[in-house]
Amino acid sequence: VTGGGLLIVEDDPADLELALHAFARSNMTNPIDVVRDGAEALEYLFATGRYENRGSQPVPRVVLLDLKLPFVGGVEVLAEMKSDPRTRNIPVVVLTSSREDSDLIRCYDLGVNSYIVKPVDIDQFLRTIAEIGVYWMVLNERRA
Amino acid sequence: LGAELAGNTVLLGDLAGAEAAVYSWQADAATPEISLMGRGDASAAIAIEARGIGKEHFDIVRARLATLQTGINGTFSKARTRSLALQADLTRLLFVALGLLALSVSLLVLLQWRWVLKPLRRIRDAAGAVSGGALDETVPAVGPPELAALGADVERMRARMVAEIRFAQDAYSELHRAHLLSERAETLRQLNAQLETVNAVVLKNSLDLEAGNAQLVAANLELEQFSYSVSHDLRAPLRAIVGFTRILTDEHSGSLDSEALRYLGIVCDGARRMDALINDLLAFSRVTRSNLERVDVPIGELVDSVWPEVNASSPTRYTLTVLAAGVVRADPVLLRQVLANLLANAVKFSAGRDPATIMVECGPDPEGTGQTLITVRDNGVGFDPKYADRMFEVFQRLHRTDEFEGTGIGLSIVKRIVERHGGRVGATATLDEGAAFSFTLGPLSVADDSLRPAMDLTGNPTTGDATPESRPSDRPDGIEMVGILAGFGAVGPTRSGSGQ
Repeated sequence: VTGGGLLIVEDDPADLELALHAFARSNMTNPIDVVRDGAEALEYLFATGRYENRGSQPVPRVVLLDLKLPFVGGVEVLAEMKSDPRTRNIPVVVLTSSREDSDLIRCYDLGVNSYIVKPVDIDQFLRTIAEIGVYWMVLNERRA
Repeated sequence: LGAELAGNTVLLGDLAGAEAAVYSWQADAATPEISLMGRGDASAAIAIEARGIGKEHFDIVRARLATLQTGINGTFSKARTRSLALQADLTRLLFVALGLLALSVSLLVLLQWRWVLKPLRRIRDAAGAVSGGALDETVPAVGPPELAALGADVERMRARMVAEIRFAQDAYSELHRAHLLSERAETLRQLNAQLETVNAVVLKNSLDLEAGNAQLVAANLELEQFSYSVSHDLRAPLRAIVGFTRILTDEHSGSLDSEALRYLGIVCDGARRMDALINDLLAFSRVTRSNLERVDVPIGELVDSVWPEVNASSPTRYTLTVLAAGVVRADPVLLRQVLANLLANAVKFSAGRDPATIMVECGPDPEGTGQTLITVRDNGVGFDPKYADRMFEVFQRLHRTDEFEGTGIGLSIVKRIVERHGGRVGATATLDEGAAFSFTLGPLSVADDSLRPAMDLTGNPTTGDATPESRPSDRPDGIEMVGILAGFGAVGPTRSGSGQ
C-alpha cells in the first residue's frame, strides 16, 4: 500500500484482473492499489481501520470507482469523498457496467470527474482502461 | 117621545102643544062624557057631544099632532139628509184613510227597505263574503243605530276572527317552515350521511389508489433495480467470458490447437449475442419507463437521419423511398427508435436483393381513425403471414439465428412505443416477396405538407461499395422529380435516399 498512485475500487475479480491486465499491457508503471469494497475504500482514503497506519501517505492521484460494491456502495464512497476537504480534490473516475441515467445524474450531482461505462467488447475495454491510466496518471495535472 | 125629542125645542114645543090639546080634549070632552056614560047618563053625554065641544077640541089635537108630525117628518128628513151626507163623508173619509194607510205602509216599507233592509243586506252581504272566505271584507256599520251597532259588532267579530285566523295562519306557516326546515335538515343529514359514505369510499379508493400507486412505484423501483442488476450483474460475467476468451486467443494461441480456438470463437459469439439480448431488454424496459415528450416530428427528416445508421454495416445497395412524409406529434427519441428498428429489419431481411427497395409511406389511416399510418415496406424474404400476429412478441423470431441475427425484441419495442403513443402496429408479408410493417400515430399536424401534390424525389443511388463515411455525400442533393405516384391516397412529397 503506497498511495500516490492509482486506487482501484472493484469487487469483481474478473473485472479487476482484466483491468490490471490492461494496465500491464499499457506499460503503466505507476503504483496501483486495490480495495475490494466501499468500506475498505473509505478506510483507505481516510486512513482508518485496516489502513490506520497509512498515516498521511500521499493520497491517490486518481480513484477508479465501481458503483456496485458490497457494504458501502460506490455512490456513497463518492459522496463521502466529495464532502471531505481531505479527499475532495482527488479525481474520481466511475467505471461501471451501469448505463442507468439515475446513476449518471447522481454521480455528476456529487461531483464525479468522469463517468465511464465498462465496454463489454474486450478490445474496447482494454483500450479504455489503458486510456484512463494515461489520461489521469500522465496527462492530467494534479492540484498542487 | 119627549125623551126622544130631548134637545129639539121646536118639536118639544109642538109636542107640548099637542099634549096640551089632548089634555084640553080630555078635560073638556072625553072625561065628562066617559064619566056621564059611566053613570048611565048617555043623554047628558050625547048632549055634550052634540054641542061639538069634543069635536072642537079634537080638531085642535089633530091639528097639533099634524104640526108635530110635520115637524118630526121635517126633522127626520133633515136628519136623514144629514145622515146621508155624513155617510158619504164617512165613506170618503174611509177611502182617504185607506189611501193614507196604504201610503204610510208603502212609505214604511220604503223606509224600512231604505233604512233597515238595505243596511241589513249590506251587513249580510259583507258577513256572507267574510264567511265565504273574503276575510278582509269590512262589515259596514250602517243603517239605524241598532243596525249600525250590529254591523260594528259583526265587524269587530270579523276583525277578531281575522286576527285569530292570521295568528293561526302565521303559527301554521311558522310550523310549516319549521317542518320544512326539519325536513331539509333531515335531507341534509341524509345527504351528509351519503356524502360521508361517498367520502369514505373515496377515501378508501384514494387509499387503495395510493396503495396501488405505492405498489406501482415499488414495482417501478423494483423494475429499475432489476434492470440495474441486469445491466450490471449480467454484464460483468459476460465481460469476463469475452475478456478472458480474448486474452486466451490473443496471448495464448500458441498453446491452443485450431479446434480449441474455434470453440473459443463460439464462446465469444455466444457472449456477444447475450450482450445484445441484455442491451435490447434494457432498451425495452427503458421504453416502458421513459416519459413521453410529444413534439412535432417531420417523418422525412427523421428517416433521413436514421437511415445511415441502420444500413451502415450492410453490403447491399438499397433504394429508400419516402412517400408523403408529413409531420406527426410524437416523442422524437422513441419514434426514432421505432423507425430505426423497422428500417433495420427491412435492411436485414432484404439484404442480398437486387435491387433491395425499402419504402416508407406516411398518410392518413385508411381505417378512418384520424391517425397517421406509417408503413415500412421492403422486398426482402418476408415471412409466412400466418405468423404476423406473433411478430411483435418479445423474443419471437421467425428466422433461424444462422440466417438472420437478432434478439427478437426489436418489434416488441416498436409495439410498446407505438402503443404508448396510443397507436397500433400491424404486419403483412408474402413469403419470399417482402414484408410491410406499419404503425399509427396521432394525426398529421396542420403544418403537414402532405397536401401538396404527390411526387417522387429520387436520390442518386450510389453504386458499388460505399463506406459509411461516404454516405453523407450520397444525400439527395441532386434531387430529381420523376413523376406522380398513383395508388396512395393523400400522398405528399416523397424523398428517396439511398444507401449501401
